[in-house]
Amino acid sequence: MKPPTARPSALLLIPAGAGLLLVAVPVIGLLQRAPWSSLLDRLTSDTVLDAIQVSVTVSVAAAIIATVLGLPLAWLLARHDGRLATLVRAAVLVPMVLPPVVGGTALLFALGRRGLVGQWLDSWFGISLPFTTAGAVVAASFVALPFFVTTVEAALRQAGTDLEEAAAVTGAGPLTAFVTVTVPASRDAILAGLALAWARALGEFGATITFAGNLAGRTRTLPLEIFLALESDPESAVAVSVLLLSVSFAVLIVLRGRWFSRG
Amino acid sequence: MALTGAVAAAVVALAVLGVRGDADTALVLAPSSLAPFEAELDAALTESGVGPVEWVFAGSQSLVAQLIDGAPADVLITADAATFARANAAGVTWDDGRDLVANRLALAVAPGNPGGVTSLDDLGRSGLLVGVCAPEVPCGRLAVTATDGRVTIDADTEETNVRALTTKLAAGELDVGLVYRTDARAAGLETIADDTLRQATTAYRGSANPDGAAVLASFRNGAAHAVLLEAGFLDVTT
Repeated sequence: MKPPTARPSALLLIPAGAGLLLVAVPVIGLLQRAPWSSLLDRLTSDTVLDAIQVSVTVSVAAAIIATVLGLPLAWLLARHDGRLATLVRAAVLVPMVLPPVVGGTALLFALGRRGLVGQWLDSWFGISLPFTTAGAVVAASFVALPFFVTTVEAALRQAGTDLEEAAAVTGAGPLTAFVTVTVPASRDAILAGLALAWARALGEFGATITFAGNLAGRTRTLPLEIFLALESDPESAVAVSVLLLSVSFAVLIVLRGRWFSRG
Repeated sequence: MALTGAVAAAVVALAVLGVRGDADTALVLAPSSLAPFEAELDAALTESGVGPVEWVFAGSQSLVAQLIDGAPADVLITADAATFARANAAGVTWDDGRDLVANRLALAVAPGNPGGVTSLDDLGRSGLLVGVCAPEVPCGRLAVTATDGRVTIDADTEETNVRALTTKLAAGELDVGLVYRTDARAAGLETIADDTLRQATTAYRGSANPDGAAVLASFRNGAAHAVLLEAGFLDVTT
């Protein structure tokens, strides 16, 4: 049942409308500058195709990593209160508020080959993340993880522990209960978190260029391609931006909206 | 009511903040490679009675893009003539520009030279982490010119401005890279002498409106010019 529709107050409509305009007007500005007639040619040039391939690989890998690591984290945070949980929650959210360039620098100092952890990765396993596609995945996962965790944690909290307790009564262990009861029951939230994390990874720029560098076919994602093209070929930059925008918009509508939910 | 009031207050605040501060202060768009010398340039301009000025440092191509999009400025300085020409062609410079100083590239290595770099040819050696500027930006364009016919660069990253590249070299994350010799010097990077690089220079070019004319003149042959020569930039005539 839909909630009764209250007559919207003008006092709310004005700031709400201003808020919508704040985000919508720039998008319209971008669309009206798009080179529609040559859009397809520009989007199928070799450099753009390279960037699409890198972006797809990096954003999908980052979304998977955010889900695999984020789901248990979200569950732990949803089921625990207290100082430690507060601290962990704040730490997980840091990439959301940190300027991405700072995040990239931090990653370099931690995982670079002279970094805190990176020097051991390098000398023990011969793994060096900066300037590799794997490095771009790490940068994208770093910024995307909190989007997944916050979305899913809120849903798990709201869902409560009834189902898990019922499963425990039937003799299921905590892990079984988590996998067979909690995860299916939070499917919508997990999909929504996945979509947000993926979209954030797709749009990631600052941490990637700082930590993983910029090389065609390896680390040059669509946002990096846009940044370079803005200064040599602005029309192509707008064309690629329109592509990025459309894809993100479509995915957010489908996975975050009510398209798949039963409600 | 309070909400509408808050929105109105926010709009007024934005309008006030959106107006650029001090009309008497020249706004100077300068390339990243001048950023390490901001303090010295500030001091020189102020002492010689020209400054103080407001700086916007970014890659030359970013500066030109900003200017074309309507960013305010009194002085534009680009790190090469090609980038200046783009601004000029777009009609956003105030005249055809003057050459100010010149610069050269240096083969800079990570602290301790872990890659054992000895010459320009090492830029093509596989297994080394090699950084250059992207060919879209002046330091990358100069890298292409300077190494043409000598070595095919096997780059691991193409940075969008020279400072980003210098930072990664200084952090030891890249083995070797081509940066301006002034950046290498300012960051204390070890460089490997190479005669090929001595043959390619880039001329920094600038243009100014009447409010910025004195600043530009200082860059051409005044106190700012002296600071840059001290920092390792070259006279345009050399």
